[in-house]
Amino acid sequence: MPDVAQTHRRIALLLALGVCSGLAACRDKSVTSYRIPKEPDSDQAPDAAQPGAPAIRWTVPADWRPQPASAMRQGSFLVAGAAGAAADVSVVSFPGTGGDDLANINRWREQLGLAPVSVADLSGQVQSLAASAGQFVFADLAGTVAEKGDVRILGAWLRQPDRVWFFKMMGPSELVEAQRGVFTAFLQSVRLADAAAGGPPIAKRAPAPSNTNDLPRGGPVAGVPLVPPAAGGAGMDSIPVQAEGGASLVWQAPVDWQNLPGNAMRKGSYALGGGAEVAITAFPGDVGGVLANVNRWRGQAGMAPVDEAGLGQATTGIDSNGLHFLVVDAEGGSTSVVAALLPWNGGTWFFKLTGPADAVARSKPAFLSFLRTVRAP
Amino acid sequence: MASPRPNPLALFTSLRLTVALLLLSIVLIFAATLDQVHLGVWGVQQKYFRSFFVFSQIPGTGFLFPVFPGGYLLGAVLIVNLVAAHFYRFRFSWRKSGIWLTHIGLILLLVGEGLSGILQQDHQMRIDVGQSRRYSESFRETELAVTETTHPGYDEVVAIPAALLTEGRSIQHPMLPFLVKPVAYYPNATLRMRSQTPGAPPGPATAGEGTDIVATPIPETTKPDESNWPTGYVELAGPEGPVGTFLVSTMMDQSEAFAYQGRTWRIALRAKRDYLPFSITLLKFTHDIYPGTDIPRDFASTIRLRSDDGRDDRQVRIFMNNPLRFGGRAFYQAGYANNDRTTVLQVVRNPSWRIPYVSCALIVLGLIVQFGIHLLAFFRRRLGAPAGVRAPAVGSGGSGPDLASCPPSP
Repeated sequence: MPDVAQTHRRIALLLALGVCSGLAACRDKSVTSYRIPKEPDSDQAPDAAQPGAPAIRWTVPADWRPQPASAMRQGSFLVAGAAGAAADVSVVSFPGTGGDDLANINRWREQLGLAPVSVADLSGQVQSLAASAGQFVFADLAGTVAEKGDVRILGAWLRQPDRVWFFKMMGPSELVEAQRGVFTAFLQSVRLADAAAGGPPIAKRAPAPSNTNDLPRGGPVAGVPLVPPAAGGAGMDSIPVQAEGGASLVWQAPVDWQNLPGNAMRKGSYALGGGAEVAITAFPGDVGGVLANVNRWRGQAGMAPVDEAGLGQATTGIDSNGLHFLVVDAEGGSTSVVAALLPWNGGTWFFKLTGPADAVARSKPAFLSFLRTVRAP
Repeated sequence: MASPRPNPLALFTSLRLTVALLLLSIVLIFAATLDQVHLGVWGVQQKYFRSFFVFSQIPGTGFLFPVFPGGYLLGAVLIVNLVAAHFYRFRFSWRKSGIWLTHIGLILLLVGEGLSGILQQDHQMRIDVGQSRRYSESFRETELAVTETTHPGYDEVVAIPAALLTEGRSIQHPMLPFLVKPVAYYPNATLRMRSQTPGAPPGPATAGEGTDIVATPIPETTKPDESNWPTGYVELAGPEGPVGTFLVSTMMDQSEAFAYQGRTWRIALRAKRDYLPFSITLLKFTHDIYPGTDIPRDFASTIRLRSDDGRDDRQVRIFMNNPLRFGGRAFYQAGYANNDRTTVLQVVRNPSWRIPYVSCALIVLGLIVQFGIHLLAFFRRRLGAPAGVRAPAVGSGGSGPDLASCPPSP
């Protein structure tokens, strides 16, 4: 006969384990906090490690000991002095302007326990240092820090069109003072690649007053119309437009045009107010030819068809961005059509403004301007 | 006449219970497979398998009631049943030690699977060539990150799970000089510029980009090729009054910045992050295809692994079926993007990942031991067979050949 009591104990133990496991299944919903190096996607963070960031080169002075770089630092060195003294040298880069000169100086002054200076005093705090990489703003600041004594900062920053580089040596005053010549020689050795060759890859916020389909594939960008794939009938303006051949046209619609849900036929669709609407479609081939399309649109506007001879008078051409549009202005009855036909990449693209005559007449200038934003990728 | 009291031990050791549990498991799997069309793989796992009960809603009400045992319950009872039956029916003996080992291995396998379901975290890392990352991101979970960026060298992050935002209660954290009050939370939403949405009602946002954006909640999607975009409005209020109400959304690529009490902050809703004590830099990504086709033959990431403590700084090649195991996590080559300039690594953290290996080793060992015992017994019988045959023959006074009388072999 099995030892029933022992078996009971074992089952109880297993049940207890099961309960513990069940409790563990409850997902952790506690708030956590932690400290991290500056995030690469923060506006203040460097992103030189990212692809496309400008390459930087320098010549390291002989007595500087390289330290491991970090997510924060593109360069890091330790300068050893007498009696265990050591100064820290860092090279960091920030996208954007990196703050104005006054903010930079006052940030370093704060690190040295110094009171901030005003704009009026700024000129006495900084110097200009010409080097092959460009014009550095150079500062030499000294202060007293608790537990560290007299501390000095040799700092410089170099602005590029889209980023700023900071070079900084901080350490005991005597050591840093002695290294001043070495530090400036280090700045002279800095070489930057062509800025145009390496723009910062951080997604810029698109300016608010824009309405464009020219978005990166990588993901949504705040500040522009955002429609996720999950949204049924997503606005096509947020999706790169694919023509039959796989290539796409891009454009910028006026900000007051409201995106309408697209469909399989429409590459873009906008409501312009007053019942006017712009539809963008693309088809393979010539879709029946110019004459048939012109007469179709004229028919929609209640106008008589034209023949080949009258086609020249019924259409006008617009050349923009290397594209040639054939524009039909069918403003006859209560409904008007202003349409543009664009043969491109083996297919035909149609940009069509329709609606009540008065609304179309009001929107026509904006529509014609809009056509000039259309371009091939 | 009173009916006999049910014996719980008999119930748990019943093999009928085993059969019933297996049948219920089949029904559960079948129902989950049918429901996968509506819920997707993730939703089905959560509803049917990673739950103690499958709940259903009474039509017209918000009341949920259990309709079927879930995977956790069936699995737990099955383990209890197997263990109880084993201890009840089998007595330990060395002759059956192999069976014991095999059974322990099987039970461990079940337990390990359960623990994996509970403890495993699946994250991903997307790294561009040349870029370094020191955190992975959850596929599913979202968090509100309130980050103090005042210090030039580091950021202080307070991460609030999105699950807390859905509860709507104000959140106070010692690191934050203000209260975080969830105003609204949508598991999925669309964002549109307010200027392009005439007639849209004013939103709760009073600060940041959100004042120019209209957020519209939409149903959650379960389709594998679509994403949900969790979105919410969060009010920050300090002792001196409200700081502002911000629109936060995973769809917004940058966090909102603001200043409070002379310190600078950023707030964002983002995929839940798991910061690592090391960084991974993608040095090179290769994507080979079979000649003349688009079929991937191999894709591999050459990364540089640098630990914060300086002990590790090495290159590692991660490719299909050859993950990097480091820091309690496994990094699998999962995909690629951005014209082969971005690698996608799946980061799996599963403290119980060794259990299946131990289980299989136990099962194999058990089988070897059991078959070994049988084999030894077989050989012993064969070697001892003549003696065994002779003994009864002698004992019985039979006339069998007496090997002792045979001439010795040369």
